[in-house]
Amino acid sequence: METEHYDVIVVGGGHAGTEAACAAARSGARTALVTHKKSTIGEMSCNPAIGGLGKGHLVREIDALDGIMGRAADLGGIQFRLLNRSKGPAVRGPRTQADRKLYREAIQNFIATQDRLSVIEAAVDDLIVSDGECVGIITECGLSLHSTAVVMTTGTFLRGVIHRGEERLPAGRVGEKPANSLGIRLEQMGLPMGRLKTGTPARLDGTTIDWQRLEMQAADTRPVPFSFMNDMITVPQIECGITYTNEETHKIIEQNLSHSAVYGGHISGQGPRYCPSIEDKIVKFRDREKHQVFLEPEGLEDKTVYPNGISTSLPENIQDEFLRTIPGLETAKVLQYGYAIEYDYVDPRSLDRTLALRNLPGLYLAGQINGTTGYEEAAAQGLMAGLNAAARAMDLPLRTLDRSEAYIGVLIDDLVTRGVTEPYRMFTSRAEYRLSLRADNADLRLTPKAMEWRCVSDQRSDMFHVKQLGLEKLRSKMSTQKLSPNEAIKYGIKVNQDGRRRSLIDLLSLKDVTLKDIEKFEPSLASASEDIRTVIEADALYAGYLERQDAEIHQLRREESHLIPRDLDYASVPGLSNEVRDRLTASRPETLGQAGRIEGVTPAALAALLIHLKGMAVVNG
Amino acid sequence: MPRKASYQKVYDDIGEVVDDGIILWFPGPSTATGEDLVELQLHGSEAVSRKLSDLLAGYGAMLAEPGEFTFRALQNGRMGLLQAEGLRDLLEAETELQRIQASLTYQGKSRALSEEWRVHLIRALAVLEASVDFPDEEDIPFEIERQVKPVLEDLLASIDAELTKSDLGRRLREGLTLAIVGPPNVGKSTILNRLLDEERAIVSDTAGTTRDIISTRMDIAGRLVEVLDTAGLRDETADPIEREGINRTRAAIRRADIVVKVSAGTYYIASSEIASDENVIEIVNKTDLEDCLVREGQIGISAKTGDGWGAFLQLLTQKVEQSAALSFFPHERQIALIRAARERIDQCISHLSEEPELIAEDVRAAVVLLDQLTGRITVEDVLGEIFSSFCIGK
Repeated sequence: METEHYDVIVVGGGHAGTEAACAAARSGARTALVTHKKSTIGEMSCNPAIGGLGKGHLVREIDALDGIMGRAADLGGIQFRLLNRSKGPAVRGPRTQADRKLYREAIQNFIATQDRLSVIEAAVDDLIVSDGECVGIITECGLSLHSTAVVMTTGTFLRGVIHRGEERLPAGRVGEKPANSLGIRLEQMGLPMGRLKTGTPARLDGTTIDWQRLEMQAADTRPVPFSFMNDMITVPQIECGITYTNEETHKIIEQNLSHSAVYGGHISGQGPRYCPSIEDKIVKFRDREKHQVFLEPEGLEDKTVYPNGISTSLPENIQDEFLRTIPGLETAKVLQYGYAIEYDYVDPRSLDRTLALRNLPGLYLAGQINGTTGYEEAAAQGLMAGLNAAARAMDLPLRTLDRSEAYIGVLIDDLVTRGVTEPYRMFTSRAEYRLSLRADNADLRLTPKAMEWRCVSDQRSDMFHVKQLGLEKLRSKMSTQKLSPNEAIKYGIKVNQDGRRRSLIDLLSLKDVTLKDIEKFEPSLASASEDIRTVIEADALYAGYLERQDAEIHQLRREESHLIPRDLDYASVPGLSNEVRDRLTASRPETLGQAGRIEGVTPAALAALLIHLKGMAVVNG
Repeated sequence: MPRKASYQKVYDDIGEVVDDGIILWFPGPSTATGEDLVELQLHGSEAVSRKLSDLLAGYGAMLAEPGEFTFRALQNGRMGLLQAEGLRDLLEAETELQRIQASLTYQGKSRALSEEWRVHLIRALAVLEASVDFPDEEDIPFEIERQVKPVLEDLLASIDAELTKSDLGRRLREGLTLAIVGPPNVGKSTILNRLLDEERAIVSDTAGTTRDIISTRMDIAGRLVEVLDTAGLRDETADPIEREGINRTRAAIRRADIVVKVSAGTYYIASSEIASDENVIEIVNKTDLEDCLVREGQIGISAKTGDGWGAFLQLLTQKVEQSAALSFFPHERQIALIRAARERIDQCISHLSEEPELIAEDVRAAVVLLDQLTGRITVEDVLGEIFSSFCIGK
């Protein structure tokens, strides 16, 4: 059976797949999203929350590029909390609990209303490869779909196996079939692959939890939306409960470790260190008397509760037993037991900066298949893969972001140059330029780029221009208006009596000077939007550091501008050891900067490479 | 391929035997440079080595530039920068203490110390980053001040202890300069000669015999000392050559680590010319003559008879020992980096109550500076420390 030709086919309807499909369609590509089950598009398989430290930054960046995750979270968020509110603006991370149903509906609505995007319900079994390029897919029932580019977002479905105690169940997630033939197919193509694992806790019936006994955590009184297009949240906000494990809990788990799928030695895949199972926590941190458990409702009208902090692969009866020892959960009923899931991933070092497989042009990978974990990490990759797949189909330049431009740049650079040894999650500490890569300025950093890439709606462009104008105007007012030390002191602002006139921006960068102190001199600051005020304040706070960072960014950009030819024969570069040669040949960095971030590539080896590249440039004229 | 040693004959291109000897084969990467290496141990006459060089050149081999093997080892990651610096010092070492100091660096002791400092910094950084990245975790210490301060203060103390030694180490590596100065004809050259135990300088009774600076290198208590015998200082002279000599003497005084100020009889130089400080040894020469007056703080000697010489030598040795001593970081490059890192750490300690992301920025900068001594930092180091010390997983 033959059908029409698409520009881009996206396989998978999770967070990577939906973002990829919308991004490709937004850029003008005729796009098909192929998923085995329409009704689970936009499903949150694990923790019902979006954002967090580093992750919230990603969501903001996705939104700045006109992605859908931020707007969906604003429609589905039921407990908004700005993390690190007491710390500086660079490390504040927006996060929300999400109503699983509201979120899914929001995503499905974006998909349904997106122009040039159609949804096809089918399981995918194979890829169509012609002349060494990926040109489409074949569904389980034998249907061939042709396209110029394919984005694969298989999540945990690639040869997924669920482990619980002694039970083994091939599955993509509970109750859904894994994608086995596709996994085999990728392996046959000779891609370097590995196994990773992740886990999830039991889901509880909220009506059987004794909430009265628990400490409760409320949402922020004034929720800050993810999307730059929203200025308020209208969804009702709820509270989460907090409880703790205790020595009794630990004793039960310890005695039954041999029944745990992970500790019983049934799983070879590496799990994430920052999201350990309760078994892990107890084994690795024996001296801790208790571990915190957040009880997170999965929706406004959903009685399901997600007990965050106790993911497990113990048998069902042991799960029941240890849950009963936890205060508030003595009589809690389990709706679905926890499990560990093991799945295939492709070594992301086989991808280039556009998330395309180097050895199979036309095929893009995004999400957990690249060894990451988390909805936000998946969505960010999906967005970039979607943009690049569309760019390929429409013969447009590559869409890339570097480490100094975005967390998305950090994420992709880490993946393709360093690979992964455990499911990769974003942290603010991964971003060396985090003082400038802030959640508050994500739109200022990225929306102009997105407009250049033509993947932004008119509405967002207009809103952005208004904001940018307002900000520039306020900034220029604040840098031209200057006060002498005497004038400043008259208004209670302490400055050195050095006779130097300081601009309002300079004054704001002083310790203990706040926006409130400056408002007296510039009334339009008081009436400016919260968005703009935050940017002004953050830039002033970090001014000294940002200057220093600019020099580093300049150095980075210089290294990134030295492109390495795709087919460079490293054997012809004098002065490289065999080891360095092998590593470079395996990773095929695209820029000198990337080469330097590959493990084992010494500064001296980098110098040899640079000298060689310059020599080649001379020869090639 | 394993390493191999074999006895072989070496032939030239027309089949004549050049020489015979042991041929050693070291396959990379476990070699000094990381590359494949061949070593030919032949009878090392000039003629043999010239013939062999010509032969090898015919096959495209090139002579190594000075330091090329070390550079290649560095390039291939077989040796760190510190180690390479140590190796260079080892190759240039003239005295026993210079050898010991160079080998501290070459054998990795300096690297070990800087790695130890780095561990402290990474530990501090882990606490700071954890408080930033995991605010919801009950296991994360929020008392940054209590957790980070002692770590950084210990580190600062250790760095300061090294920095105080570094200048001594630098002088040990570079060698000390000792200037013998005084008015004409007080016997400066005689003193030098006695020091050297040989007739190095021309000695005569005519004032102003030494017109230029005579420099001699010697080993005093394991330190390399460059001894400068200078032209006598006097204000009035019509001789342009002598005047130039006097100018050079003044320059020598400025750069000397130790100055031996010599006077005799009524000849002495004004204290405006050389202020008395701990680097100056004042001696009164010619105690064998009658009108000799030795004041307090001066040592009376007779370079001619050897009177008082023992006391002078003892004081000189003491000054030399105080001016140059072993250190792990004897290079300007190393000292400058460590000083800069120290400044950042000091900054952190005084700003611990402020935003953790800013303190982290300074700690990171300090780590980068220390890494310029040895290698490169990756964020995985920090995350590794976080995950091994705190239980994280909401």
